[in-house]
Parts: sequence; C-alpha cells; structure tokens
Amino acid sequence: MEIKAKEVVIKSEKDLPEAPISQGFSLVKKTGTWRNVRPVMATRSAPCQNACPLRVEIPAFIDLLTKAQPEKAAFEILKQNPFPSITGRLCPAKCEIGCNRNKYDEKVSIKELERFLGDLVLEKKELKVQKKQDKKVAILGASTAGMAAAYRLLLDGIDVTVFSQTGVSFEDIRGKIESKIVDTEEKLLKDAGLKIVKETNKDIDTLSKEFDGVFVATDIYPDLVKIKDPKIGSTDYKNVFAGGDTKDISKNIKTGLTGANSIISILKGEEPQPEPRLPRVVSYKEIVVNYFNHIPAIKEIRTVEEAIKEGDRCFSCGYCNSCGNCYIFCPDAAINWVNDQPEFIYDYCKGCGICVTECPRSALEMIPEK
Amino acid sequence: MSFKKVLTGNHAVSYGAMLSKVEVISAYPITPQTQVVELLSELVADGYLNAIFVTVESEHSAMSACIGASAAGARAFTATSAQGLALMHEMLHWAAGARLPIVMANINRAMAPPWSIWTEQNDSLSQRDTGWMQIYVESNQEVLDNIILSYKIAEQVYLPVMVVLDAFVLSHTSEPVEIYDQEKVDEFLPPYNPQYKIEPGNPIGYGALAAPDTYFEFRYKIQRAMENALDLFEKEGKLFGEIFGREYGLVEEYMMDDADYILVTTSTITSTAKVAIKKLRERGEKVGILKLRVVRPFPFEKLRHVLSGRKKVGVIDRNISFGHHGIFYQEIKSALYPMENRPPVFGYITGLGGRDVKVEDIIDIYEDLKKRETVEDIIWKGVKL
Amino acid sequence: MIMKNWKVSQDELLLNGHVACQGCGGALAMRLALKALGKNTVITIPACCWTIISGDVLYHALKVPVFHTAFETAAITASGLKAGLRMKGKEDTTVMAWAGDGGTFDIGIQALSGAAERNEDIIYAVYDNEAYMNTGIQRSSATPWGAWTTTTPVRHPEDKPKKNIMEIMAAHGIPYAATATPAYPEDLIRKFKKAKEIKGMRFIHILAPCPPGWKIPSDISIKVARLAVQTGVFPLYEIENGKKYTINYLPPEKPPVVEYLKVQGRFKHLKEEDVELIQKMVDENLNNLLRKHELTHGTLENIPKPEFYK
Repeated sequence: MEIKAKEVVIKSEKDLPEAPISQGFSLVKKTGTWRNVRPVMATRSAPCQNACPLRVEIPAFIDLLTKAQPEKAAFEILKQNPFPSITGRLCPAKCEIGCNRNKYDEKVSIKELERFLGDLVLEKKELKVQKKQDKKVAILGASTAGMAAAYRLLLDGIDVTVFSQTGVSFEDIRGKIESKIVDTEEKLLKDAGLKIVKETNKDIDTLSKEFDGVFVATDIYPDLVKIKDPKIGSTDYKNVFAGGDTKDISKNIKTGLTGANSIISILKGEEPQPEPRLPRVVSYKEIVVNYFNHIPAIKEIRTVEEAIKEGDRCFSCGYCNSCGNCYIFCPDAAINWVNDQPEFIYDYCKGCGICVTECPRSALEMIPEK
Repeated sequence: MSFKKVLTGNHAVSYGAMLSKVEVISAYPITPQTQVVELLSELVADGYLNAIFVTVESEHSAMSACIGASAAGARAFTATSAQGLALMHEMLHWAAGARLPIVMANINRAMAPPWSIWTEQNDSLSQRDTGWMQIYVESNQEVLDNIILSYKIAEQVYLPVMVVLDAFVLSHTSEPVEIYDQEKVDEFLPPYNPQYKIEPGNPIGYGALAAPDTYFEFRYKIQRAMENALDLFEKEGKLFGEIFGREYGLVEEYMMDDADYILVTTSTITSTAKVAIKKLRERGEKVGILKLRVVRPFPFEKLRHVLSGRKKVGVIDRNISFGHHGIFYQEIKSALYPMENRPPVFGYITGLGGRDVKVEDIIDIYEDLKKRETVEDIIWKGVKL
Repeated sequence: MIMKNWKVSQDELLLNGHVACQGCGGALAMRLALKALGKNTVITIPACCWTIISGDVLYHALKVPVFHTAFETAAITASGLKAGLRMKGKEDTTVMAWAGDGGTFDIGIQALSGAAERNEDIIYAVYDNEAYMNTGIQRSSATPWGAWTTTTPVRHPEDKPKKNIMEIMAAHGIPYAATATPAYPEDLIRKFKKAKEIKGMRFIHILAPCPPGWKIPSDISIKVARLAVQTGVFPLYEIENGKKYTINYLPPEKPPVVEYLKVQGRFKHLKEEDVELIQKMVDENLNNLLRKHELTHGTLENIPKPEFYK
C-alpha cells in the first residue's frame, strides 16, 4: 500500500475488506489543528556577542568551526571584524566576561579562538572591492580605527587616502604586536588601493571640502573635532565622522567601521543610522545544562583539532548549532531535518513544546497561534 | 495409500490435523483432550508433521497463539474442553472478528462446579455466538474427516470452526478409522494462502478501533460469511464424498423417508438412537432420526424442508440454557416458526454431566413423544426427581 | 547532514497524524524503537494507549504492520506471530509485543511469564506510564508508592511500591532484559538494536512519561524522564541471561528524588516524611543494583559517567 494522505470513503459495506484491515494512513489526520502554540526559531542573541563591541556573531563562527569548517568560521568573523588577528591578541575580551559558561565551569576561550582563526586566514583573506565609485574619502590618523574605516570604505569601491602622522599604518599598536601581522593587514589594504600619506598638519575645513567624506581617528587627533553622536560618529561637519579614542581596540575598530558606514550613507544621500540593538540576550538559566559536561577550557590553541574541541564547549546561546535535540525528542515526528536545521511540519505538530524545552541553547521558542 | 487404524476420537483429531498439514499448534492440557495434543506433539517431534508446537501456559494463550500464527498466514490448530474453552472465550471472539480460519477440536465436557470431566454440550454451546462455526460429530471417522473439511470451508469464508466431540464416549473410545492418502488430502485441501495477513513490508493495522460508522459493516460481513458457509458445507461435503467416499451435509437423515415422528439428536446420542430406532422400526413404528451436524451456521432452510409434514418432533438436548430450555430445542423451534404447518416440537433434556443415555432411554423418549398430547418445553429424561 | 548530538537513522517509521496526546513518552518511545528495529518488523499491540495511537480501523499510523490483540495476550500473540512467520519462511522478521504497564505488570503477566519461560524469540517492550492511562489514570501494579491516580485519591495515595518487573523477568533467565527511556534516545536505540540481534526472549522496560496522567506540562515529559534516571528512580541497566547485571549510566551527581517528584502533580500531596521514605526506597533499590553490578563486573568503576547527558 502506498503511504499517502488519502481519504478512505465508505459508502457501502463493499468499500470495506472482509477482515478489519486498515485502508489508509494517519497522514489524513491533521493533528496540527490541536495546537494553540507553535514552535519557531527564536530570535535571541548570545551574551558574548552582546558584550562584543564589534558584535561578532561568536556562536555562528564557533558553529562553523565545530562543523570542521575552520576557514569558513574565520570568514564569518571577518563579516564583523576585519582584524581578528589583532583583536585576538589585544582586545580586552568582554565576550568572555559575558560568556554564560562562566556560571557553569569556565568561559570559552573565545579570544584565543578568534586569534587562531584570524591567523589561519591572515594571508589568505582578500578584500573583495565592490564596483569602483567616483568618490574619495580622507582618513585622518592611521590608527587601527582609521584602518578599520579604510577597510570598510575600500570594500565599497571608494578611493581612500590615509594621512598618517608617522607615515606608517596601525600607528597605535606598532610595537605591541608582531609587526608581521600589521604588515600583512596593511598589505591587504594597500593591494585594494589604499594610499598612505605622511602628513602631520591637516586642516579639517580644507579636507572636508577636498574630499567627499572624512574620518578622523580621534586617538591620533584628539582635539580636531568634537563627536556629537557617538552612535554614528557624527561631528559638526556634515561629511566628517570621527572615533577611536577608547582603550578598547575592538571599540576603536567599531568606531572606525561605524564612521565609515556613516560616510557611505551620506555619500548615498542617506541619513546615517545607528546600529540596531541586538535581540534579547539568552541568560544562563535558559541553558539546559544537562546537555553539557564540565570540561576545562583550552587556553592556548595550536591546532584545528584543539580549536574544535574548545569550540565544542560553547553553549551556542540562542543560536541553532544543529544539535538535533528538537528532532530526536519530537513524539510526533513533526520535524524534518533540512540543511542541518529543524523544519517544523505544522500540519502535524501538536505544539507540545518538548523541542523548545529540550533545546539546550534557547534557540527555539513557542509563539501563540493566531 | 489410505489405511485403517484403530483410533480413539482424540487420536482421530490428531491425525485429522496432521493430514490437514497444520503449521502451528498451540494447546494446553485438559482432560479429556490431552491425548489430542500428546499425539500431535509426537507427530511434530518425530517429523511426521512439519509444524511448530507452542506449549502454552493456558488455553487463553493457546487460542491467542493460534490467532497470531493464523494472522501471519499459517494454518493453526488447537484443541480443548470445557473450562479451557470457557477461558478461551474472549479470544474466540477475537479469532472470528479478525476473520482467522482457525480450526479447533472441543471435547464436550460439563462445566464446573461441581467438577466433572464427563460429556455435556454446555461448554461449546456457551460459545455459539462468538462467530465460530460448530460441527457436532458422531464417530471417530467423522472426527477426522471433519477436521479436514473444516479447514476447507473455514479458509474460504475466513471464519474459524469448532469440531465438537463427546468426552470419553468418543474421545477415549477406539474405532477403526481410515487415514487417507496425503496426496488426496492435499488435492482436496490446498495450502492456506490468505488475502489478509501480517507480514513484513505490508504496513497495515489489523483489528484496530472501529467507530460506530464502520463496526456495523464488519459484523454484517461475518453474518454474510456464515450464510455463504451453509452452501459450502453442502458443496464441499459432497466433494469430500467424491474423493474419500464419505459424504457430509448440514444434517444427517436416518430412516426419515416415511417417518411421522422425528427425534433430533447430536453427537454420540445419535448412534444410540440409531439402535433404538432400528428396534422401533422392527415394531412398525414410523420414526426417524435427524442428526444435527452443523449448528453454526444454523441450517434453517434445510430443517424446515426435512421436518415439514411430520407429526411430531422431539429434540434431545444434552445441554440446557438455564432459565430457558434445551438449546437445540429453542433453535429448532425458532427455525420452524415461519412454517404454516409446522409440526409440534417437544424438548427432552438428558445425559447432563455425562450420565449414560441408553437405547431404552431413547425408546422411552419416543414413546413419551408419541403419546404426549400437549407440547412440553422441558421433559426431563433420566434425572432423579 | 549534520546532527551534532545524535547519530540516528532519519528514517521515520512512525507516521504523522497519530493521535497520541501532546508530549507522549510512549509515542516517542515507539518512534525511537522503530529507528532501531527497521522495516523488517511486525508488532502486536494489546489494549493500551497505543491501541488508539496506532490508528483506527481505516487509517494506520506506522510503516510496519500491527496486529491488535486482547489486553492480556501481547506476549503470546507475538509468539504466535513468530511461529506463523517462521513457518512461512520469514525467520528473520523481528516480532515485537508492545504493551503498556497494565498489560504487562498486571493482566498480561501470565502470558508474559509463559513466553519468557519458553524463551520465545520475540521482543517484548513495555512502555510504562505507571497507571492505566487509556482508561483514565487508574492505578496499576506499576504505579509508584505515593502517587495519585483516580483509584488512589490524594487522601489515600498508592501505598504499595512499584512491582519490580525487571527482577521478575530476570528470574526467568531470559537472554536480555533492559530498562530504557526516551529521554536517553541513544541508549534506547542501542538497546533495541542489541535486542534485535539476540535470539530468544528479550524484554525492554521503557519509562514513558504521560503528561495528563502524571500531571505535568507536555513540554517537560523528557525532562521528567531524565530526572527519573538522574535521581536513581529509574536506573538504566541491562540484565543478560538473568545473571549479568550492567548499569549503563550513573549521573556524576545524583540529585535528590524530590527534584523528580516536585515537578509532577501526581506527587503534589506528598509530605516531607513521604519524600524521605521514597528517597530511602530509591536508594535501597539503586544500592541493590550497584551490588549486582559489582558482583557481575567485580567493580563499579566501569559504569559510564557519560561525557555529557546523552
């Protein structure tokens, strides 16, 4: 008998067999109608990501890493953070302070993972320039913030000139980090068309007229402009944006990226927008700790295997990492496993909620039916 | 080549099952049935019969094992008696409801308490509404023949059959019995190949919950199958006669051609009655015997046909429906009711608990029947009053 | 296809549209068991919740055949099916009896004992929800001490401990008996796979939470089953040939039994001293089991303390 959802119509006794044998399959019974709440993928954020100024989607890159795709994982970091080899060495790792695993045993070595993955692709990464635009932007100050702004602008095909007081890039961190790293990053930017010009005295009024936009790295030029709205890095000049004078390298990079984004907006004739807030953060008590075991962190990562092992410690708060709990525990077989993710079969899901309760990472939620 | 062997009724059952090539046997010992399964287990163990013998812990389980085996498409057999049959009751319904053509031998034995191991029909007649066909047999040859015949009919209408024989009078009494050539039996009874069965790769639910919108029709189908079986009993009984030389019908008529008075009998009382009737005939009495063989399905038409025009009918029951009458008496009365000129029917109850029914008792019953003016529903014969 | 926590077959032999209650442990147990047993399986189901779950007379809810049978006959009907299939040359087909606790601990125990003693070549799985749930939560001999049911009201809760069915089965010396629960899917699947490869009588006792009967929200039925294992209320173990005891899981830290009791409405009425008594009974049972494990293996060190929960 072919297994399909076909209604059995009994009009006379002849439609029934002699013996009481089934004629069809339960697929005709749409048990999804019993439901008054339904499971969906939740929109939540991990505390690490929320603590990170760059908003690096940490569970996402760790997920790729633990699925044995370390390079993909590294490129996932690059979406938010152009310089993981630098932050992986110098950033204060607020992500690790926020890590829910602190309350269980000890934090995941996120910073070390970032460094390892950053180094893994340091010489492989490319800066894929979009279509060249007939726009030019000046960056005042070749600190990490300035370089981050340059990175972002170059990506959009904008002509970028960095005015450096010392004539070198990454002025703020030279000497604090292996020069090979900053040299490699500089080469990447230069290969994408970046010009670095040694210049100590530049007048902001002139620059803002000569260039379509200006970014001022305030760690190098602290008094040149006054920041009006730090969320977008705006100044008194319409096309001048600034940032970068915090002690946190990640924050500095973020201000560079934010300033660059604001410049890109005004070049398009749009109003610069602050970055939206992240969705609700997953708290420790939402983690089903039964699915984890106490494992000491690997503090120094040398191999991909070690990286994966450390990555496996991640609770992956709020982020589906294809653990499969929802699938395995569904009493109604109402979850298909598609592209390593649950796909709910709402025709039959009765809304019991086991999938949500057993999701160890709060990546699912129940919402009321309309 | 067929051959004759002196067999007890119980062993005739075993040989009947062997010739029917049953595939799964499951039974639990109870006097007076034990020899049936003893011989069968020997036949299986010695390789004369390729079957699995499941030695269960109760009759309820014996029937359940047969049900499972039959559902898997195997020919299943069991035998029991009295308390054992009563314990099976639930599963008798199950076998019929699931339309499984299981054949069983029931050795009629009186129900306890008080304990009795002797013959009486109340055990099998308590089960007459379970959807099982019932055949009451008179001789050891008839025992063997009807096991084979039962499978032939059961497997065509998908209903189980109970072959019923008297405790001790038949079960433990030896008679010469012809054991047929296996090839001939195979010719008559092909291998069981059911339309519905539980087998891997066939995802069906068998016997699941039927709501009021479907249950009714399944019951209608059982009744239709029973009705079809009436014709089959005559057709296959005739074919059996052609092949093996012994023909069977729904009933057996003995010296009935010109008889004004008919005694209706079942099982071994028939043999006693035959002797009595011969004596009565010698005296010039116009009396005959109607032996009821097939009790479910009940042969209404046949009975109306053979009993029409008779002066009086006396029904001899070795059973009683307490608070009512003899069971065959009720049934024959109800069968005759639609007839315009139905003969008066008198009910005789005798031989309960295995009390001997002698030739003189039958003659007494006949004489009572002949002289009795008004109809009596229960006439006790042989009870110490 | 990546599923990080579970290495299981994604063939579903349980069809959508079955009518088990929300969060039914018994439905999930069947789904997982069939993942282990595969398509060459036939099942017989006596009266129990699964009589309803597996579909009505028109619509079947499994991809394997089911023969419905009477309440007390699961073990023997399975034996009959096996005999029939053997005679039909289908020796390799797995025949499983799938019954509730009432059909196993109570009304079905005679046929079960018979099948076990004869070492019938069947798998007998009991999904134990600790009362007659299908008829409306009446107590069975599988109902634990102190539990509320509709026949053991809160003023007079169940006053007899749960029948130890595993010891009864072990006493028959059957080749394989094991406990399992859907909260530990890989353990359950492994046990059914192991059972499938063994000849003779195999018995698997599954603790299957029942949200309406245990008075728990439907979403925590797995959590409750997990707590049953972690607290020692329902240890996961195997008994081979009635002699060889192997505990499959010991939690690194055993939570007190109250953790298990307090989330269930059926234990809500229990007083502190009742909980203490239950704790004592649970500890005693677990200690007995540990002793038997030690007797078998000479050590307790080989009991897995799992890498993580699964």
